[in-house]
Amino acid sequence: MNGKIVLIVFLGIFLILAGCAKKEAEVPPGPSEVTPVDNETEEPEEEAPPEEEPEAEPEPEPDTSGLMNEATEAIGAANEAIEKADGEGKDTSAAEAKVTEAEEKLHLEEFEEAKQLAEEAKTLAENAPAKEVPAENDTLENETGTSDEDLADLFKIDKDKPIGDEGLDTETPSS
Amino acid sequence: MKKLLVLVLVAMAGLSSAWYNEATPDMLDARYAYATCDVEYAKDWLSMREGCGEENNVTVFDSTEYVDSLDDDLVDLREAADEGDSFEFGLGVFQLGADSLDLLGAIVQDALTNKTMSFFSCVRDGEDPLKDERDGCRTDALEKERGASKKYVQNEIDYANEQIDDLDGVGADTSGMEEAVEYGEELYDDIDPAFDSGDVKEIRKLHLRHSRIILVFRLEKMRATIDYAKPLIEDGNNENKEEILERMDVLDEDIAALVEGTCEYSSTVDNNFDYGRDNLECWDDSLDLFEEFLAIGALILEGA
Repeated sequence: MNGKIVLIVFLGIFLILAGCAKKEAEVPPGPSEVTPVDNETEEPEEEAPPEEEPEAEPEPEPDTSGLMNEATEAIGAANEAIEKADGEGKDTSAAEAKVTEAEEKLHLEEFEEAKQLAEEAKTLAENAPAKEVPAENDTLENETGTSDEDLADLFKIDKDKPIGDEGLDTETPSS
Repeated sequence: MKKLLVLVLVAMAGLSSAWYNEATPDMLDARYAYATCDVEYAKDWLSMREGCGEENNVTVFDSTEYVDSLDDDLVDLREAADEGDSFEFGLGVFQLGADSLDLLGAIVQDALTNKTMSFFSCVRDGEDPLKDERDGCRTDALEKERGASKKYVQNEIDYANEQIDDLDGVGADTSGMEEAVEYGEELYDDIDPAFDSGDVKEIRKLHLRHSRIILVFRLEKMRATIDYAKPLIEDGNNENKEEILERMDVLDEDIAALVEGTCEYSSTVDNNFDYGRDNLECWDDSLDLFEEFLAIGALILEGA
């Protein structure tokens, strides 16, 4: 479970960083980078030093990043719910399967779906049924899934003799 | 207490799972018809013999009591046939045979006392038409049995194939059972030629082979089951594991000794008496093995 959380955090960081890099590339060029107009007659204007602006954190587009964060948070919440349910001895297999799907969607940057799946996973975890613990007298199944009861059930045989040995040779007396 | 419960459950399962051949009433009805032919012949023959006695001033014994016994036996057979109860029918046939022997003894004893040659001559002459009548009656009864036998054997083949499918479905080796079914199919094909011959001995051969095939199939079924179950028990955690495995080994050897030894199936019946005697011995031996097989099943359930 911890591994999953680490993976998600790592994935989130990776995506954030990937988003940053993308945004940097898209930032429009600054005045210093503007190609000077080829005008020799004009006194080249003294370039005003660029205003000292605090270097703003380039962020991903608001919509996408918001969704991604929401999806990541939803997955985190789902995983927490699963961990809690597991600790309470509940069967979290369905929720785990769902959260895995959510993580895959997150990886594919399908954030809305990821969030939805994560929420479903959380609901499944919260409503998970208790694990079926084999009762003391229950038979353990062997590797093939055949229980001893199933095996014993095969040990049946009909003991009755069939028709066939008697009847026709019952000769009644003749002289 | 648990052991008792397990045994009761196994017994109930055995009862509820007992298969019934739907052609049994038809088979018993045909055999009843055949037995009736013989009893009617005996009664007519006794009447004819009494007539010869009167004609030749010879005293013959009073057979009323014997005839009443045969009639009672037929009533019992009729009831068993109507109920489709082959066990009761078998008992009835045995009783009819015993009462027929009593009658035969009485006739022989009577024949030795104060009879004349003309009396014997009268009886000999009188029995031929009776025999013809009896043979006609038997032919009709056998025709009934031909149809019933086909249905009976076909039902058994179908049921055997169902059992094979069940075991095959779990991965057991059913080749021995399949071979027994092939014997059954061969027997089915031999029904018409045997009945066409009109020879009761040929029909009797069918019965003897049929009995052996059923036995071999059941033995092979036990073998297939043990062969399948043994490694599963070995890998499992059954509380009776050691005892089960030990008893399985012994049973498997005993079955092999029968199937590959004295009880091996042969479609050739050289001597009806010898084949029938072997059948009896094989069934006697096998009944113990059936019990052991069921006991192992109970042991598995108990240790589960």
